[in-house]
Amino acid sequence: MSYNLYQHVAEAPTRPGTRQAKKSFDVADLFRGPAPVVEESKGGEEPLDEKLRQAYFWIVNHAVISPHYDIEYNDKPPQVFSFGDSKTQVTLPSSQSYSSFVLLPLLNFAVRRRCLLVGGPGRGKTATAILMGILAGYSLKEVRRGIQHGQPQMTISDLLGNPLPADLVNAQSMDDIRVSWRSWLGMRVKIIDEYNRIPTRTQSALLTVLADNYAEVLDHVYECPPAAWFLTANDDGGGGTYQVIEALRDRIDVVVRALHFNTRFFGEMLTRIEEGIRPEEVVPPKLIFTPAQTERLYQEIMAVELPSNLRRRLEFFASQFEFFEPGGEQVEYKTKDCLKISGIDPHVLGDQSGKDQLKDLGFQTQNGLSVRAILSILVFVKAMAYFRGDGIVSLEDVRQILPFVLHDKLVPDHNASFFEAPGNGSLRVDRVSWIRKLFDMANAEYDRLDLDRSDPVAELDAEFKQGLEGLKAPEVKKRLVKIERQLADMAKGRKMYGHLYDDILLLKYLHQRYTNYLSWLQWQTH
Amino acid sequence: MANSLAVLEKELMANRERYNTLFALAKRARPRLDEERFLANLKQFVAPLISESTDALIGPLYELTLELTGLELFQRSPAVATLWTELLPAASSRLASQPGVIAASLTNAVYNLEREQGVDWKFWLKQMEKCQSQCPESETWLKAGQVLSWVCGMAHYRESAKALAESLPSELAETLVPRWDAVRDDPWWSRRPAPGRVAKVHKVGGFVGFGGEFRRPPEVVAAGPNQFIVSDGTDDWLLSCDGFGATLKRVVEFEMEDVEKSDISVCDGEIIWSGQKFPFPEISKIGTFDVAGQVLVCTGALSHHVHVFLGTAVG
Repeated sequence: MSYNLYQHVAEAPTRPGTRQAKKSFDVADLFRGPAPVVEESKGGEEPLDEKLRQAYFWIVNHAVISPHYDIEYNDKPPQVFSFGDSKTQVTLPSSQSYSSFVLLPLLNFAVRRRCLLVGGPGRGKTATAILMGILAGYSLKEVRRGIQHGQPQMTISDLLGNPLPADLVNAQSMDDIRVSWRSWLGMRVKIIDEYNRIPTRTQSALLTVLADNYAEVLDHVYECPPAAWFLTANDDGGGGTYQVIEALRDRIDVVVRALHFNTRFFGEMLTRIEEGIRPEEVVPPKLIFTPAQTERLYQEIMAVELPSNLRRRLEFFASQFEFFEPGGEQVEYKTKDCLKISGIDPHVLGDQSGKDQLKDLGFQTQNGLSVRAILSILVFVKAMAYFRGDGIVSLEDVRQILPFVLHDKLVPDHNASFFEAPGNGSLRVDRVSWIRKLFDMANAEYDRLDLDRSDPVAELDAEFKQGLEGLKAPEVKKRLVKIERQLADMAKGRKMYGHLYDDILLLKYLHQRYTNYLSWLQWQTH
Repeated sequence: MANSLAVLEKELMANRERYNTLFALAKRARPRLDEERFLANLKQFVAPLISESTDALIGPLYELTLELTGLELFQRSPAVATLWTELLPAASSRLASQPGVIAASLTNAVYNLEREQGVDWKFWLKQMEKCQSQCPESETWLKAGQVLSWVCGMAHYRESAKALAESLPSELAETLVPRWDAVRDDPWWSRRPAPGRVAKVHKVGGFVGFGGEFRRPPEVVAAGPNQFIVSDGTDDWLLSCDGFGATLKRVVEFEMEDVEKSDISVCDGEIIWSGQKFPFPEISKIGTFDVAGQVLVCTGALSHHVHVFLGTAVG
């Protein structure tokens, strides 16, 4: 049993709601008071969202100097101040807000995905990753041993393990060769420091572990447990010693930037040096998650509800980017994906559709959203809502999380007219704000189209999802006519946008399913 | 003692980096934390608790001492200082298993007892030492401490303490609560007057300027068996009372319970019950009064105090 210090784990509730009237006095309160009674985590039924918030507050208050509250929540209109000729706005959030540099790694720890920490040297990237390892219950020594330091000479054996030399000599078959696997493969928190300094061939071996959760050496396979990954890089532009292979980059679920060091915290830094403060040495035991708790944490996050109207907004947002009208002749191939495969510069094809290039969000990106990106969004928005103690994802949760998930996934087209518009130049650099703006613009369009109240395509889809079983031919024909009418209505608009493109393809899909079903019905009756 | 200091010094030297970090972090949280005083507290309060076989205590107790020094509790609270110099050395063998939990829990307990008006924390410490032999498990000993807090006057803990006492071995319950068999059914048993008589049993409250609770002479209304709501117009307080004590706890919302009717009344410094008059000069200028069963609570028109009386029915 270890005792907690005054390390001041934030006292529950860390996100207070309405105070409940206390019904009776409990003699257990006798032992509550100024001296903190801290028992080690028992892995029981303690509320894990509260524990996660306590871990967050402990890290921001004591471990990592990150005085940036860039994930802003407001429950009433915030105070806003403007500075300088550029009218730089500073918002004072009216609700509990967070530092992305600490929060996102913590959420990644909770949902066991892959987080890339990017930023200059000495900004606390590795320190943050180490803290995540300690939260998972590993000792500081174990975490340090488990870190894989990217370096140009790193081999696959360095990364995964070696065949035992004696077996190599005596073995009659590959099965006889035992492999000494590296211990980090079995850890629930995996840290790859400076991953862009790993040689390309070794990156491929890393990809197998990162993507498929197993390692392979000489036909021997090591199955890794579910783990939260933390990769660090000093340069996210692929400017490390080696270019990061695209498949590896694509597996990163969330990207967090280490923001600059605020010089007002110089004194804090000095104290740490003078006093030899090493916060990772004194993480309160109360904050450690047992393996069972980590599993329960994940299950509870997955149980957070994403309401259908919000899901629809997300669909609308995601549908904006893949469509590229000049990209193909047949409608299915009018995508940026086709364009990318062809290797042709999109500007060579041009876009003669006459659409407003400032309003059509598709013009701002070079690609659409991959399935992996959408999966990551769904997982992290749930984690965000859970962290705030909510059982349902809110629009603001999505708005705050999207930029970090899509940071490296949505590639801006810097030649787009949008970035030329007054005030938008800085969005070429500031991807977090750019993606948030994209989402705001998509929402505004969604509201303008009044899709919450009137979405005929969604109605047709819902009708289809009720199933075809027992459906009679007249009803099928009626639905086919409805689909055709809907397509005709949409065609009157003359311009084709990303969200319409997905709707049109859905309607085509529904039409085909009904047509096939009708053919089958007619075959049965003859 | 010299040996203890040597063990302490050895451990601090062996893990100086960790202990220095702990101190530095504590200093950041509580800038008034004084290094000299902390070292003195370590020597005075922690060193007597350790020996070569219990050096594992040092880490947890170091951290707790750091916290208590930061709060200046050793200096400000005689109860805390007494706990660390008298009860904890007598229970040093228990500390080895759960040093943080036991030392911190007991520290909080004496701190809470000391802050409660009319509660005898010295008696609590004495009884805790006395009942040690009957509590082989530390968990049982801590439960005994909770039950004892009620016996020492924390009346608001009555119901949960009684439930806890039920879970303890009967001999231990009897040690903690004398005549437990009677008190279990009648929490007034120890103070009950002779049948047909009325006695004054408690006086609580007082003017806020003199360390009491009320800004104005309060008013009282019965809120359930052995509990009353007392209000000074600004705040509401729950008065819990029984034979061991009476406490006032501020409440925001409270569910009133049914109250047993009674024919006790008050008039001109006298309590009138079943035709008999009992003079009590302290309530000559009566403010308000209310009755729950055989418990009468009066407030004065010119006083900030609350008086609790108890009657015993005949037969």
